Amino acid sequence: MILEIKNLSKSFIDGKKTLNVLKNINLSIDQGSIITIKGPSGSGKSTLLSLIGTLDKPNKGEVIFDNENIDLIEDLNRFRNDKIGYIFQSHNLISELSLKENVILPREISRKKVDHQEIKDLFQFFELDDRMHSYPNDLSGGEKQRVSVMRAIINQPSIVIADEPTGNLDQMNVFKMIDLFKKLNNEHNLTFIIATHDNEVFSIGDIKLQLKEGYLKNI
Amino acid sequence: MRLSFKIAKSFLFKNDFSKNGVVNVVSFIGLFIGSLSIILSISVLNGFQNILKEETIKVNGEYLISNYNEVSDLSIIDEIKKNNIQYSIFDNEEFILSNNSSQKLVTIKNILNKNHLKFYKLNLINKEKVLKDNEMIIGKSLARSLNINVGDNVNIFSKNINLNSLALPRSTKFKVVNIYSNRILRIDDYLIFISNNDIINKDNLSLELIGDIENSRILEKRSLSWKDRNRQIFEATEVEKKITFFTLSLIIIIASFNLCSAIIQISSKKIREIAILMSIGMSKNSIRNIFILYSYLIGLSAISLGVLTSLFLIFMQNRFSIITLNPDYYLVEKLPMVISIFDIFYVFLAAIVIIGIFSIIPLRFINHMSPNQIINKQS
Repeated sequence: MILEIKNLSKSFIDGKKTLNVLKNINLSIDQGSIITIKGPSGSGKSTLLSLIGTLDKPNKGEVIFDNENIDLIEDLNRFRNDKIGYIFQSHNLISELSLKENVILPREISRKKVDHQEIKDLFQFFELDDRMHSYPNDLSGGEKQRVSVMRAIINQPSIVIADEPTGNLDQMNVFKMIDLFKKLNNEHNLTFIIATHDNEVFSIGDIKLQLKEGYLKNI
Repeated sequence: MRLSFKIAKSFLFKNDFSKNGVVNVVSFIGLFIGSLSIILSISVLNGFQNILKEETIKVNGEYLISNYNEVSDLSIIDEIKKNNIQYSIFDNEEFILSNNSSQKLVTIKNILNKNHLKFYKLNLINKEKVLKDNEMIIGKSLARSLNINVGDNVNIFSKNINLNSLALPRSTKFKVVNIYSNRILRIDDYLIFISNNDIINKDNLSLELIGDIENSRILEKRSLSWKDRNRQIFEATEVEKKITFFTLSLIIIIASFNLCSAIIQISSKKIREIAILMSIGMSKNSIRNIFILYSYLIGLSAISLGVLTSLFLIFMQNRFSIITLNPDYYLVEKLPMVISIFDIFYVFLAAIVIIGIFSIIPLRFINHMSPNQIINKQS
């Protein structure tokens, strides 16, 4: 088991009201599985992903990552850099850096050696080998999102967290992205946790979950 | 730090000029003008201070040893000779100088050994610098005020008014053989050089030295430097330099406000990028460093350009005397400009501190940033 969530709760204070976004969430995820989560807007999908991805802290409960309670991890930046890959709805690339520079950012943050042949092979795998030195603004939406997937997996993370990864893509690019997730899952045994509104993306999950009124249910 | 620098460089140079460029250029110009004006002003003050030092040393040497006793202080002469130091032994006393009906209280430097007159680098109207027993060299200003010319005979009286057998004040007659000028300290208004063994007071001898006395504890312990002897004027120039430095640093501070605005502008525009970098594991300190380095890239390049430009202008002035002065008013013929490596160091140090402070202040928001909220809002 790569990830275990125990009794996770998260609430926000909105003026005088307290919004209980997540209520006693429990979840176990095995290495190499694809988890898809759907739910209406504002149901707490992104909040759940932020808690798993250590970008936020729960009010209650535990997130156990590879038998380690993330509450007890001292350097969360390093943990995030090493173990988690993020894909957001908008590509979120840094426009002043070339595609290659964007992709190798997590590797440079970790101060690990950058193997240029490996980067070239990765661009080839993503069919973007002729665009390595281009800038994000020169690319289509689908291409940009592929680059952000590259950035998410460059450090060979244990889990890739994708928050509405196809939200800004047309149907053709949605299919391309689905194929890519499946390929990475099959060939590299990567674990994916994907929050999505898209039924096609939702259908690829080994475990399909729905988040409604703060509770997580299996479908 | 390398990655932060790389991203800072990209934010600065790969951005559309119209977006952040204007405020960056305004900051750059401010810092450039600030450093240029500090270096140029300090160099002029240094130049005048150097002239002050040179003129002082010409008539007073670098160090003074008072209460010199020819018998008991033989070790001093040994030390001087051992350390290859130039020196002059003299008696310094006040007399009344009289020419016809005009009198004036003057200070007479009565040099024990006539050869020691070479010690003083006097600006003389006649090149020959030899003194016989009853000859004197007087200052230009004194000569003018008492209407004395080379070749005139004058009398000096002890200010204690010793009377002779005829109940007249004792006087000694001297022939003026040369006139020197030293206008900066107005020394030529009261200081006279003679070498007369008949009126020398051997109980009141002093020594003046030029050279490096740091190797001799005896000399160092007993001597007084030219700065100490002219403390008031020297400290006045030092205070003037500090005030100028501080006042002109205000230009750098004002320019740093612009830099602060530039940082606020760029960091607000790059809030999404900050959130991305946090999500992929970059620490808040490293993210802060990006903007601090961004600020330093603008700031230090402006300061460096300002310093280089001022060094070029100082070189041109010293080489080609572009700015000339009327020596009647300013005492020198060209604007003196001297700069030391320490002055440049202080400018950079002040700039580094000021820019650092003004860059860190607007970046405090990073501590309270929640990357997930920013990314979700902007998706």
